[in-house]
Amino acid sequence: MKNPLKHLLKTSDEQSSSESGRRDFLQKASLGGLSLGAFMNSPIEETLEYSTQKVNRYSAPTDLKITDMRIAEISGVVFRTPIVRIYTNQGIVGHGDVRDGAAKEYALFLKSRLMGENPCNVERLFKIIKQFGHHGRQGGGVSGVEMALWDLAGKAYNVPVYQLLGGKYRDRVRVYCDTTTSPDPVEYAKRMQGRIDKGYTALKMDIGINLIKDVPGAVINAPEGELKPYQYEYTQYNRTQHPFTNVQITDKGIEKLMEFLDVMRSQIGYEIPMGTDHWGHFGVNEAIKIARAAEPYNLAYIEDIIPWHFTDQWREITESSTTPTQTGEDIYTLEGGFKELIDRRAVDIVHPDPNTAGGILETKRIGDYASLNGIGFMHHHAAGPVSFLGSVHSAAATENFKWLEHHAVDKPQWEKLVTGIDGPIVENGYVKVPEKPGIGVELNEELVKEFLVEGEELFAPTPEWDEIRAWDRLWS
Amino acid sequence: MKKALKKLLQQPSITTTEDGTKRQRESPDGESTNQAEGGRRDFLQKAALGGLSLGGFINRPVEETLAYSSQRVNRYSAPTELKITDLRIAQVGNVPLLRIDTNQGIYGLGDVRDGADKRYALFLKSRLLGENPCNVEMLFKKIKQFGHHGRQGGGVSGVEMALWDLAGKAYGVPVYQLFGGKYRDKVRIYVDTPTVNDPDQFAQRMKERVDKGFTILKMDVGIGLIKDIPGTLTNTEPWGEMRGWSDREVTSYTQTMHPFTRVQVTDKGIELLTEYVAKTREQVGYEIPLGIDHFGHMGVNSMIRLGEALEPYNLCWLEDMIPWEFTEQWKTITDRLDTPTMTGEDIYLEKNFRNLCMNRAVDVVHPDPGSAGGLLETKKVGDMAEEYGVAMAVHHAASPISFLGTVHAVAATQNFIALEHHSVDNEWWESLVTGIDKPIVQNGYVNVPEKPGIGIELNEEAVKEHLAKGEKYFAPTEEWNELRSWDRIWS
Repeated sequence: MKNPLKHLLKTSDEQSSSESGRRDFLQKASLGGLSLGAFMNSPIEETLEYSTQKVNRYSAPTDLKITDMRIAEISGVVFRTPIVRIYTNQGIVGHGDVRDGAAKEYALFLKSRLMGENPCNVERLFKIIKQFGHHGRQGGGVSGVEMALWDLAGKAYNVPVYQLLGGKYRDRVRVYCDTTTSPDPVEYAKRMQGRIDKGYTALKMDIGINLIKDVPGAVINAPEGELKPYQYEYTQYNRTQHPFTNVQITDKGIEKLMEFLDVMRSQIGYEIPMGTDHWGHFGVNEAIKIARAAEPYNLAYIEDIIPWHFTDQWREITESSTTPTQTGEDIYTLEGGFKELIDRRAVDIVHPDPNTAGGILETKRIGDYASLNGIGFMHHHAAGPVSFLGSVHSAAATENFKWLEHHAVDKPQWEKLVTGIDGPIVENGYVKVPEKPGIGVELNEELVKEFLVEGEELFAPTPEWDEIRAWDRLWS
Repeated sequence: MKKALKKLLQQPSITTTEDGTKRQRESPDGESTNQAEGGRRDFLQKAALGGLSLGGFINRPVEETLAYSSQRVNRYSAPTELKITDLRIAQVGNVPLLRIDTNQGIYGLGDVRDGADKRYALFLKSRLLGENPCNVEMLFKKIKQFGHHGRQGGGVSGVEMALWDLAGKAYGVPVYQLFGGKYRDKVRIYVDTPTVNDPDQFAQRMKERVDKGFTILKMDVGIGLIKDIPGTLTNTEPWGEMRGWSDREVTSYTQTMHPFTRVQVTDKGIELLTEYVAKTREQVGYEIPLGIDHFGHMGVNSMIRLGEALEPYNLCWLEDMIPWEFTEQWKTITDRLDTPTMTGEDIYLEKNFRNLCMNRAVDVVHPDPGSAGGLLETKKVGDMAEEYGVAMAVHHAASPISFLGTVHAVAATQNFIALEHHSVDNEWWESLVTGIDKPIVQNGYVNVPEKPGIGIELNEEAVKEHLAKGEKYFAPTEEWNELRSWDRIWS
């Protein structure tokens, strides 16, 4: 019995099209007479294969094997983002994003651990590679690969990813967006109104101490020069964690900051949920002053007002004020930090970025755990449309989801990086959940080429990552 | 003035670049030669400025202040201006040796743990170039996020060792002195011995270790020894050969954690395993501490039964009975047995040892400096454990570089018991390094080196002779000079 089966299952190294795989599968399905008993001791894939042999699919999932992983790194149309593509022996490929601002090497490091594996075994592969992710951008390798694996599993079985997560709670996913900052509150409010006019129904803005640093008497112990939040020097303001800057905000400073909120609410009203981000680097007491002062403006949340890992300090802020608190875009995996924030109700809302958190399923796990504990859930996102739509599947399949961030509102080319979706991806502040197999999009390679980072090629070979010399077990 | 310094100052062949820094000489094949003369003149020039007042440094970086205030101290380099210029690898066996080069000709040595990939260290290069290696703690914080439990810890740990080596060389002090001084002049060693199936022969081998002068022993008494004897184990069939190390498949016995194999040991099996220990005790007596490792992958309950049977032999520790991360299960074992328990060789960072110590889930912690995060982090593990009344033994299975680096760390830690020596039977292992009296390990102890840094140099010839297949001797690694990534892990 098994010999003819094996013969038919003979894998092909062709990558040209999905045709060959499909034909193989049809031949196999036509064997017909297989009995379930014969599979009792077979790998789970074979059992699955047998029991679903009448289901339409694009590939022969049992025989699917990963044959390659390559990168196309883009910028200009999005924050610099390496796109990862996983190849198989049946012509189908899967896509994911290595998080914005991450190194492509974070994904390439995983290649040797994935070669020859069946991409449909997403959880098994996730466990193999999980140790190579970390908080921040390092999570981007594992997360990007995880998305690409779901994309492949969906394509292999001809189902949209959300269906593999247990089905969906909603047909369209609500989006929130940021806008460019202006030091003039009235001008800033106009820009926010512009977002509403475009159809967005949830907003975020950056109200931080850099807006008031030149106002005399507003900020104490502000370091000289710009309060730039993103630079590379290790000991500068931007790399100094909030409790250690000893920056303080005076009553006058608080008043100035609240002026922005006041003008904003009086201009755009109270119906729209409006959150705030990038307050600056100062300690927990300043954060509490702000949270309390902001109470009349019914903010949807204050985000990342201190680093996420100071759980006790977050709890203190959250308990001190009725302004909702939110953090999480840098946290890797549920157990890596979300669990503690949720268990202790240290924040009101968790905010994973699926490209750091560990991918599509891990993000859903975080949402589900938050849901059990009465904590809200929204997604950070700042990479390409592939992971944006991957996140849409995750969000659609998670009950307590609120909003997914859209960071490319002002980049019209961004949506065109992918094909397979009718009309605009984001319309009237919502995204329709794709119904095509996998994530539901393919890359527009011509356009991707236009935005390649200087010196980078479109999915160039990566044979130097085929092998790695390491023992991966974490225990003895 | 130190003799060595005088001698080096007479050497003429320093190349000076436009900005006045010294460049290390390169041999024609691109490998840098071993020298430490560059930059010394720089420092002396600077020191000769003399008229500088401390006030002038008030707003200067801490290195300059330090350099000024210690300008009359002998040292081998100008620490203020020391900069990392390169990081290269020479892989010997399964251990990538690591060298960090500087703009002053001095270099630091470390190794990326046994069984680790060299890329775990190369990944850090872009974050280190141009930095002053003496700022060890700051650089450690910068790269810490790129380590993890197990072999991934080897990159950060190996780099940390090389930084201490450099800082020691730059200031002319042995590493232990940078850790607060030492508790002991020689460090006690413990040794494993290869397993044999015959209990009498096994005991004989253990006795031979004692005859060689070793004063603490470890043996592997695991279910692998009895797996072919009927009636000794339950539920072995799904696990085939039950190999402890070689399989990479995640569903293999090798990769399946102890609680999930559902393998159990029978009374008969316990009796047979106990015989190995009994015979060894007969041979070596009861004065010498004797530990056991590699029991095999069985759950808590089987481990307790086996541990109880071993109580009469006064073992000094039962190691890695279950994976380290199951703290509660470790505590159950520890509470049930009077024999000390021990784990930790795979754990990265002191903070991850804390749970085990706070809960007294084990009696002894067992970091490997090549995974734990390096030399200072290993001392920190010991210091933290000490507060909870937990002792520290140290795992090691890599090159003599990290072995001697570890000697500095444990010399400076009070609750230290013994350091593992994994290469007793490897004739060329000690030959990889020079600058230290041989044999390095003598009568079961290692003398703490008194030279600057770790206190050794590489034996280029020996390293070249034992390079892993396809590997080169500190080949250039320019492809790692830049990595595009935003490294902050909070917002």
